[in-house]
Amino acid sequence: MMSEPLLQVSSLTVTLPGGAGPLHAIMDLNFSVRRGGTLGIVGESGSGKSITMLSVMGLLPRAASVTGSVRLQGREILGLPNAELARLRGKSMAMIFQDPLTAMNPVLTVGVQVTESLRLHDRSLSRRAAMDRAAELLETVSIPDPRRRLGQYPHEFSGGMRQRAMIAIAVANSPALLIADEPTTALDVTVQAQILDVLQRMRERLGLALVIITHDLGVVAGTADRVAVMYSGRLVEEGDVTTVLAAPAHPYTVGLLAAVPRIDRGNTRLLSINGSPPPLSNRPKGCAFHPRCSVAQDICRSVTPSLQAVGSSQVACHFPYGAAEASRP
Amino acid sequence: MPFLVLGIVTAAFVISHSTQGDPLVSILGDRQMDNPEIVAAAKARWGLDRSLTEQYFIYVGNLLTGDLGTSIRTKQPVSQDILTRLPATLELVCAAMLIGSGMGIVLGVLAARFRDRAFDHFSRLFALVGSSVPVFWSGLILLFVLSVKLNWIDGPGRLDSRTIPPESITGFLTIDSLLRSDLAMFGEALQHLALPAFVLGWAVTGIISRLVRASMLDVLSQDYILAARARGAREGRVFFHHALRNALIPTLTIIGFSFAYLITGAVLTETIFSWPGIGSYAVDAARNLDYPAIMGVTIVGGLAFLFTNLVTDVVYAVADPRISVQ
Repeated sequence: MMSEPLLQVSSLTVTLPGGAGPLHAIMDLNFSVRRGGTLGIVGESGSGKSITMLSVMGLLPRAASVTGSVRLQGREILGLPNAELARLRGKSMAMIFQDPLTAMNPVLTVGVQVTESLRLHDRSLSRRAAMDRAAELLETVSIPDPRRRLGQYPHEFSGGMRQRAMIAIAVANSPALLIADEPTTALDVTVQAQILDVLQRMRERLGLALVIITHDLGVVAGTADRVAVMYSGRLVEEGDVTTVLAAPAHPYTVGLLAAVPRIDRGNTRLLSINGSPPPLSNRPKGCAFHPRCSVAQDICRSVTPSLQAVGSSQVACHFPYGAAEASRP
Repeated sequence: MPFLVLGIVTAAFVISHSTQGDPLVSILGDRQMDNPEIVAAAKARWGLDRSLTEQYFIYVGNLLTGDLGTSIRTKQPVSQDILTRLPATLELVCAAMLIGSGMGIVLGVLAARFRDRAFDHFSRLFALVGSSVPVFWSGLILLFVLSVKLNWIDGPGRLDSRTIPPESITGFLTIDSLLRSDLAMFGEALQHLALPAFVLGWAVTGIISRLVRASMLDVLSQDYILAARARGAREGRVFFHHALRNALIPTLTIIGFSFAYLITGAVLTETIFSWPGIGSYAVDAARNLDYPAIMGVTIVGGLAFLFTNLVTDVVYAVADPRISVQ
């Protein structure tokens, strides 16, 4: 019997209010995350990666309209009242953000912010006990001298240390799902690997499922077991990470991979995808990627492709690579 | 800091002495001005026979010993005049700032919470009326309606005209009466204080509430607010525990500035409410070309600005851990 996935997102559609009419930020998105697994969500800026996970957390502005279904641990959480959601946030699902410099409150000590996460979900926890637990948490994310660090303010922490503290806050209540929104983008390269390592360790130790939002395929290759590629608010390819990276089926994924510098290919010229992602207000008809696609045909300009199984992956393309090559022009 | 004080003194001296009036006229009166002996004696008595430069250095020298000169009009030492009147002004301004910043912060926070809803519009209107209606109008209307028509509160002054003011301890009638456990006196003083303080406070409510609203909206869009929600904080906690303290930091500047401004800017309110403060003293001094008194008030006003700026900086360092005082 297949066990139910930890997170099941079905037909998720997000519409944001805009000056010239509603903007369809996410359209008909389906994906799932299994218990203990790591999903990498990849895409360029504006592809809807962050909005997707913010809508899972129920953290989008009130004005956004979210439809579809989000099931966490078998329970529908989309449309829950805010008080119910607040009980889940930080307890069953947690999130860390791109810029640790701005994600911590500058006027509250790190200790106050770590213990807040604990005490919000356990009213009976005393201040002293919460501080003890907070010190342990800082230790598990490899922050030295945790007792002294708890009394300091965020500006006394380096960027990497702040991101570690954010992870400590996020995993304080051993959530089942941890969402990391570009967790390493704002950090030095040397620190990036350490943060990814801490995230992996937390995943193994606490058995939590990890969703890493990134535009860095290197991060995905190193950490994720599944990958979802998003383009202009839609899922274009989803599958096992080794399959997708080794044999990408969607022309967009192919383009992304060609743009990654490879140490084993010598000094070749990096390829880039021509053009830029379309604005949400003016999405092309048919497949949103067709203006930038080298294999686009007439059908791509009129019919939006739906997700279809290609090998072990799912791909939304009329002419996926790796399908019957004969059908390709 | 000492240079700033010297600058204020010099500016006050130059400006007050560049007016085209002869203080002798107000000292002696028209008839005695015809008598050269009396004029010469008066000039010597008030130091007006010296050159302006000499007068300046004598003034600065005296100032170092705390001597602000003698008022031409009251014939009392200016420092003593100011000391008897300053507490009345400070009491009024403190009460006005309590009301003004209290109303400003509450209105600003609620306006940010209910952005673009009815309350936001109401608070905008309330702020606009308070800032744009002159106090001599709002003060008179409120005094007329509340005191004369409805008889809800007493008239102008710090106390009833029949009440004998008690011996001063701090000079703040409300505090003095509490120190003496004289609740009747406290009630009376508070009732007289309420209306002028409200009128004056209303005038600064506008700018404070607008600033609090803008800075709340700015803070609420920050990542750390999203992060607080992501760890399960409810809206009330997000608002007051996470956002408000950050939003109040920029507001401190304007609160400090308003306080200093009101110390000399309360003139109209003091005049309307017969408040025996430093503002009405300054007006009398100006009418009589009372140089020492004018300069005394100017210097006290300048010092008030310097001092509130200093206090604001210290409060800043307490409120914002990223700033440290050396």
